[in-house]
Amino acid sequence: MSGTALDHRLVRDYLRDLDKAMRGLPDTQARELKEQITAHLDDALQPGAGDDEVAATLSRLGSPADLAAEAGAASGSSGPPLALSGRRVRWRLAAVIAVPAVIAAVLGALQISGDVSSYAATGRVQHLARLDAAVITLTQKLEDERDLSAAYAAGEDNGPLTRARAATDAAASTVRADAAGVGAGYPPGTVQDLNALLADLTILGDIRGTVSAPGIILLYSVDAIGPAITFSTAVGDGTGDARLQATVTTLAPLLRAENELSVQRAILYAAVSARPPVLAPADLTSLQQAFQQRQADLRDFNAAADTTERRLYSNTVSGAAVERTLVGVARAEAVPVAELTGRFGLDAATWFADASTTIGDTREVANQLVGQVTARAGALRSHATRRLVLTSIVTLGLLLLVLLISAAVGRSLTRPPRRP
Amino acid sequence: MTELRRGVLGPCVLALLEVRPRFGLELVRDLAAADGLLTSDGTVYPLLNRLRDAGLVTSQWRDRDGERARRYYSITGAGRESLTAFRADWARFSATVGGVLNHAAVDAGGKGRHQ
Repeated sequence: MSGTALDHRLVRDYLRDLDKAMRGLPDTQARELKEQITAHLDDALQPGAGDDEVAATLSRLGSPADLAAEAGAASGSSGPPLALSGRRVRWRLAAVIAVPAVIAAVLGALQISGDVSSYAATGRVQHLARLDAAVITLTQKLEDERDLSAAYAAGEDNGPLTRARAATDAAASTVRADAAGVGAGYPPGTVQDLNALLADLTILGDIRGTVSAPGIILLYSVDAIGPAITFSTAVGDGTGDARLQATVTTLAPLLRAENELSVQRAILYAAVSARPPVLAPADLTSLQQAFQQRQADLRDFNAAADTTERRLYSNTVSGAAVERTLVGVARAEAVPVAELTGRFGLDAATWFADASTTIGDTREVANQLVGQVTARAGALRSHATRRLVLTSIVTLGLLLLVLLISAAVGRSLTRPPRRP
Repeated sequence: MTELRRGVLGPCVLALLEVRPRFGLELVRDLAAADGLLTSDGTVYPLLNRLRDAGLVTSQWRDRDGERARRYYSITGAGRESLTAFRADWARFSATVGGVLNHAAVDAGGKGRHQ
């Protein structure tokens, strides 16, 4: 269109003045009149028309103000307030679209960020559940190693002990690997418990150098198994999930009860393995304490457990071996302090096997509960994942919809569909 | 005169469109050819839009002989009816007005002659 009469300075000025004059008119009407006047001038003026000719044509056309007034009178338009036209109105319309869109975007972002943080939180819970399963396995290996170590100090064959130590080391390295990344964002108490456990694992070599059975039992219990159980019992804190916390709360006394039974296994195994068999008065006291502590722990377990969990325990921890274990402990406890030498009717290998069976049954219950914790953590995680994905999709979709609809409505208001 | 012109311009546009559809400038030139009918060329366009809003006129874009597309205005059925009615009114009205004006002129002339 270069070189047409429309490029003439006077024409451009005229059209610009017309735009100004029509500001009060509805947008459609203004656009239509502008188009008609432009076409008129394009038809009326030859390209390269002189100033005089252009001025004359424009003068015949009438002043922009008169044209606008005529158009306004024609439509009965009442002027700017109701007109969806003019630059200011367009800005206001843009604001009408932008404000809800921005609000929707902000609310959506808040929702998404909330879901992202609960996604991250459930990731931490899942991590801790996996770590806890590893710690509980380590606890069990440490108990076995401790009990065999006590017997070894008392003169038993050390073949099983070597295997037990290897199993402990494997479990410990799993714990160390799973512990990586536990730090910022995790419950401070849990982090503290974990650090204490990891620190104690570094002195496992020193513990292994201990030579007396009572010393072995004490050091393993205080410096390795104790911190591991502490971690496991507190790991449910800060997860924010009642069901998961309830399972951990039930699990805690069971872990302690199992350890106390394991301590009894160690004391009696060491006593009957000794040449000659002997139960020192201090060991008898320890045995009685472990026995009573286990009873207390089992009461705690029954109080915390639901019917299913209690039934699981009574069905799993049962049988002849369990009976013999309880009888053996009772018999040893009943021995008068003056007669602490002898086997109390116990054979070392049989006692160890029976006690181990009872401990194994208890561990089976504990492991099932650990499985529940892990499953629950996994369910929480996948719920959070689904929620995050869904929220993101819905939020973005709604935002897009709001923008599209607003843009479409806004466009139809400022630029109604035109004849081709 | 302005009001009178404004009043008759619409029917005049309809009358021109009754003959054949015309585009903007064509219509303006034909109206301008009738001396004294148009005060300004631009007035025709708001008028056309008003007639279109009233359903008396429609417009279509047309290409003709490789020229650029132009908006052509044509009369509608309602426009024809309106024009017919106006023609009848105008005939009576102009006769009445003419009669009144002529008598007044005769009276005025008579008085002048008497004085």
